[in-house]
Amino acid sequence: MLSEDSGKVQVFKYLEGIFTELEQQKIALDKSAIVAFTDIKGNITYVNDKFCEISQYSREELLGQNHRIINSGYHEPKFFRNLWKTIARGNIWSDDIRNRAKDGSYYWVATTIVPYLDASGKPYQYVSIRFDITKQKNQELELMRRNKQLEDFCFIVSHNLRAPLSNLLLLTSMIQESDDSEDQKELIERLVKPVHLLNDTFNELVESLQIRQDTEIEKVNLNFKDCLENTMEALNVEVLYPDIEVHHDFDEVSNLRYPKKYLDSIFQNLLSNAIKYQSPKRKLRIRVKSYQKDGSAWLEFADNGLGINMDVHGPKLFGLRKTFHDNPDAKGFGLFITKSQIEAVGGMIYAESTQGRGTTFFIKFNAN
Amino acid sequence: MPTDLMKTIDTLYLIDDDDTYQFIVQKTLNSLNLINSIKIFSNGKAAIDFLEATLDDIAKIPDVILLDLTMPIMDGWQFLEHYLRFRPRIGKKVVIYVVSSSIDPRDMQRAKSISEVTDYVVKPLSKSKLISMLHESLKS
Repeated sequence: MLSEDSGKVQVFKYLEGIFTELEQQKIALDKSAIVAFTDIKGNITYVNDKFCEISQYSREELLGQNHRIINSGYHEPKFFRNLWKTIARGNIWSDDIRNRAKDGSYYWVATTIVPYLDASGKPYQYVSIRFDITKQKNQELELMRRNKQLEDFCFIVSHNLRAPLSNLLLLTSMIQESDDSEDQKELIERLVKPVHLLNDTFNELVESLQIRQDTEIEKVNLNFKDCLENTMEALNVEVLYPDIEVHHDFDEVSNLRYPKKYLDSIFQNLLSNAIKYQSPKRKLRIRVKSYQKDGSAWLEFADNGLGINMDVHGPKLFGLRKTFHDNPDAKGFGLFITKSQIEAVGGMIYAESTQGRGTTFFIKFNAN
Repeated sequence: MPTDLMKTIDTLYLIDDDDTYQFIVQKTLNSLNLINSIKIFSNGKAAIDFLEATLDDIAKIPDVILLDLTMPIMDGWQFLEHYLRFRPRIGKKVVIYVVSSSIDPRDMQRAKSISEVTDYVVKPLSKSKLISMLHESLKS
């Protein structure tokens, strides 16, 4: 009997050891991962604290609910069909999922789902083990967005440079092939326009690329009124467009510490934009004012021009554009450069517009 | 070669907003003596309006169209959309070349997915390339 008892004790101690180890493993898992159990229909039967924390639901709100409660609608139905097909067959499924928390915010989790199989090999429940990868995923998406932007930049720049360059190549070969001097003279005159277009496009390209290197650009004390007047002089507004009315109100904020080149470029691009898109039906009137709001200086630049259909053109307003030819002052870079410069020193720009009424640009100089 | 032995193209549409390019292509085509009539349009809208007005006169429908993509008012893509709507009413084969400065593979792919577009040509459109395109369209 004695030996039988000591045998029981040994088995008990052995099992106790296993349970302790299992318990420790469960603690380790709960401390590190987001864990949930579901039945074979996907109804939640267990969640750990980390699951509640990241999803912002309480345990009571989650238990008995279908797992769809945290579906963010990001993945295609095919994605989840494949998940279910895999685990229903008793296989392990693993991928990144975007879920939605109770407050509507999104989080990304690297997910592994393991089926628990009965004696016949059929799943009777599933455990999902997840790790929060929201930060990495957002960085990855941001990187992809920037890559895409860079690619677009590349294609658009190449288009806008290629157009005048192609003409120059063809014209020069025509000049070489021609033996008629009148003919040659005509061809040479034709070189002027593409050469200038190429030069202007190139200069704008260089300017837009410099913004990236200008992070340490010097800020100086600038006077809004001076800057506006200088720009109007540079664009020769009084001579070329004597009918334009420009009203300004810089009483609330008269001066600003800002990179000179950028403020000049803001005024120049917004002013030439307003002139370019003025309405033929009425005299162009521009109102510029500065003020203080939300801890930053603002500039408002309003015109009564053609206005922009924001639904159609809004998303592309500040983007790079492939250029048209019969619009010599539109190289496609203007507002893109302005936006890049403003953002490079921590500000923002946006526009509001009504077609047929006019456009107002809003600039917040310092977003902090 | 005696002209009566050489097949010529009756009408060619040149649709592009770049007036220097218009000048170059027109001058080159004139020197080739392969085209009877060249019609130049600075945007898709002008071309599609003209085409629509002449749909019933098969002689005025172009045999070849050289189409730019980036144009004001109506771009090359919009032109193609409108053209495809007219297509059933056009009683002859029209060869369309997209001629663009864009090397964006998305533009090339999109153009090639439209069956009416014979080819996508990246500028500069050289004289020899233009000749081979015209010969190609004479065959069809």
